[in-house]
Amino acid sequence: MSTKNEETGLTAGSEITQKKPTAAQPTTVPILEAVHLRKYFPLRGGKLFGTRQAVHAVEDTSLALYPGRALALVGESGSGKTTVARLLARLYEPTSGTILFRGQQVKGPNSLKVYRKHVQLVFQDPFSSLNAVHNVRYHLARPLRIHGHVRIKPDETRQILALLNRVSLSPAEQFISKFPHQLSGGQRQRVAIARSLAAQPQVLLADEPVSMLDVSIRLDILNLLLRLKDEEQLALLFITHDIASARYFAEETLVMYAGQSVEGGPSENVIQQPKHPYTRLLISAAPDPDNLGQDGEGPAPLPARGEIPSLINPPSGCRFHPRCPHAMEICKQRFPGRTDLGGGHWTNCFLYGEGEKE
Amino acid sequence: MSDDLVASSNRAPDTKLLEIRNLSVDYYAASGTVHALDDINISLERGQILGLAGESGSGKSTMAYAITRLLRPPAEIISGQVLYYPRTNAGEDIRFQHLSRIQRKKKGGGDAGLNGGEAAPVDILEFAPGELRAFRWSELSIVFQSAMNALNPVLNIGAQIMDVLKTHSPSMGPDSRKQRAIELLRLVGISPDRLRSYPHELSGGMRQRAIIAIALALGPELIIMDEPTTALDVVVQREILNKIMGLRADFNFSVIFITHDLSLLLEIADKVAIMYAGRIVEMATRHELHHQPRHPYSYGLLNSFPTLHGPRRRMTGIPGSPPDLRAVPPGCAFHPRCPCAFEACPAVLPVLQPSTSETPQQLVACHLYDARYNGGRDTPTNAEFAARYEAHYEALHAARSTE
Repeated sequence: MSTKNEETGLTAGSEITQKKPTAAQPTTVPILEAVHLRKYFPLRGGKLFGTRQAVHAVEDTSLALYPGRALALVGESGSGKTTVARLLARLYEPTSGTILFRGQQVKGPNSLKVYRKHVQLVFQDPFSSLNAVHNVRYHLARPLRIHGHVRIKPDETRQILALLNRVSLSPAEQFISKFPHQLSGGQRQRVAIARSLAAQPQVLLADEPVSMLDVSIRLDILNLLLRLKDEEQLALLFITHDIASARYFAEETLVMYAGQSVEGGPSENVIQQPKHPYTRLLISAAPDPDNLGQDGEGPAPLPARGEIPSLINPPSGCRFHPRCPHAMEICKQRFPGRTDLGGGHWTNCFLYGEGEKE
Repeated sequence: MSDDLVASSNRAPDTKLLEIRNLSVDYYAASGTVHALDDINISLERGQILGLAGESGSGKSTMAYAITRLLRPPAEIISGQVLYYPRTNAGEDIRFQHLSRIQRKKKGGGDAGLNGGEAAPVDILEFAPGELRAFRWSELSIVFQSAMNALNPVLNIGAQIMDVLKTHSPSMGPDSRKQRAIELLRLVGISPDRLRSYPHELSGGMRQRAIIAIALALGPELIIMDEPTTALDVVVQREILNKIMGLRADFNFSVIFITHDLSLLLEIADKVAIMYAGRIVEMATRHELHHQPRHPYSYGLLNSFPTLHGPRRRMTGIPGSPPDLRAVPPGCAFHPRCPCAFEACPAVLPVLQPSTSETPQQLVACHLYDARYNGGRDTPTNAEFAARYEAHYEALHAARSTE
């Protein structure tokens, strides 16, 4: 049976990824770790002597990325996913919290170039992330030169061709002199991925890498990233609003709502046994033809209503409480600590306990 | 709830509303003519939801624009008819007076179509500007993808709803227009105090609801929705879909729902047409399509979406990218990407026909089901499609790594 082959193919792949780090290093050490990250964006204007208002984009988020593993960050727009990616790429300075790269704190502008050599970002929109007046060669040669991977021109061409082959753009000789407008969306995103790979990073932060692409080529790009993850032991952060692709792509999933991380753990656990009411809402809202009702039966009603709140004056306590069908008095007062559900699965919700004190 | 809305809801089920015959649309470009739609035939029943699925450039939106006569040069409708079947008891309702007028004109002064029974169809493509103006919004309305751009940023949403009423129902007074606007907002789940809100004060989901309210304003028979939820978050998307389904149950309008998200269509559509490079490659009910897609492209599209349940297995997607419409591959346009392609595929253009004798309603344009070409082989199953796609993927991958 073909499905069985595919299954074993995949499990074999994931076994390799789980074994390799332990073989290389006895303890699985995260390559990139964020501890209690917070980011507020101050607002301009406001009252002269009043307290300065701010957008509370990310509240107390911790995560860790491991070589050869992917972490999916799931949430609606406005949940702070992209801000987390940009904090990790150090495009923003965090308001508080620390980022540890290989266990060491990164701080100050001097280390930035070294840091960027190891941590690269792939943007959502390949139509605007490539410079329209430069060709593919320019896009790929820049990171190679800046990060000192090439010194002489013939070597540069060789490396660019190798990069294009790595992202399955073949024949590479043809693509090297093309301009972005001559490429399709999928090809552009491949060039953008090749550009990130040119720095030879160990961590790739992919911010919705497929949501702007055509349906039939999304999987192609996802499979390309999966292959890079497995073959080159890249640590991947995969940001998405589609919880089904998080399950397909990532070993671990972290669900964010309005800047707060509400649930996380192994993807299968989070998606098959969602605990937090918001995760449940996300999953029940996702299109799912397998849950087809009988004829004449409309889609099931959602367990919660309303929209994501303003982050300038976010709701107190758990920010999901105005929409939550199970909200209690305590939810309005404070945000619950993390409750361990076993197997690495955790949630921040009073329904499952107080959580550990911070 | 308003009385006239409820009154317009008891419509006869299962009668034909719209029939598209041999519709072809070309775009003229400096680099050649693009056949955006090629010989499209679809019919739509009253109260039915027809889903149109396909990748960008497959002609989904062109079809919506052609039906509504919104195409502008360089696009041109080359051939075909879009027949609209007006309601038979039109004479009672002020909204349908213009249509009976149209019919009378077409029939040479007779009052055919007003005597009950099946009304004579009218060809939307032959409407004069005045007829078209009367036809749009009251019989057919459209909801565009980008709610941000479809609303006027300098008018509040109340004014935009009332504008439609003022133009199309001049007999309505200002007070009743306002009443109706409030009622429409309530229908789509916006609180009436938002009547004076400007589009920028509303969230994306609210804006899309406001657009739906405008589309509903005159109680049309058919609403075309062109990717109405694509720009929205999943939760908001689900709310809007539930709202559309609820409204359809109340008012029994038909919907042509255009999206690239096939898994969404499988949940809501009665009938799904899958388009590729300007042609329909498969037409089936959602159940047929879910259980056994017939066209290899349909199978590939269905398996391009990771699932929430079942075993986690590797998915291959569809290799290659959508064709350049200026140079569509000969024969079946999908053959360069198709894992099941054989000799006949690049040579002969497949036509839409019943796939198998057991599923006469499931139409497919593929030589795999045509006894003249397939050499008597069995019709492929899902497992076979999966194996073919897998082998195709492996072969491509092997070829790439040896380069």
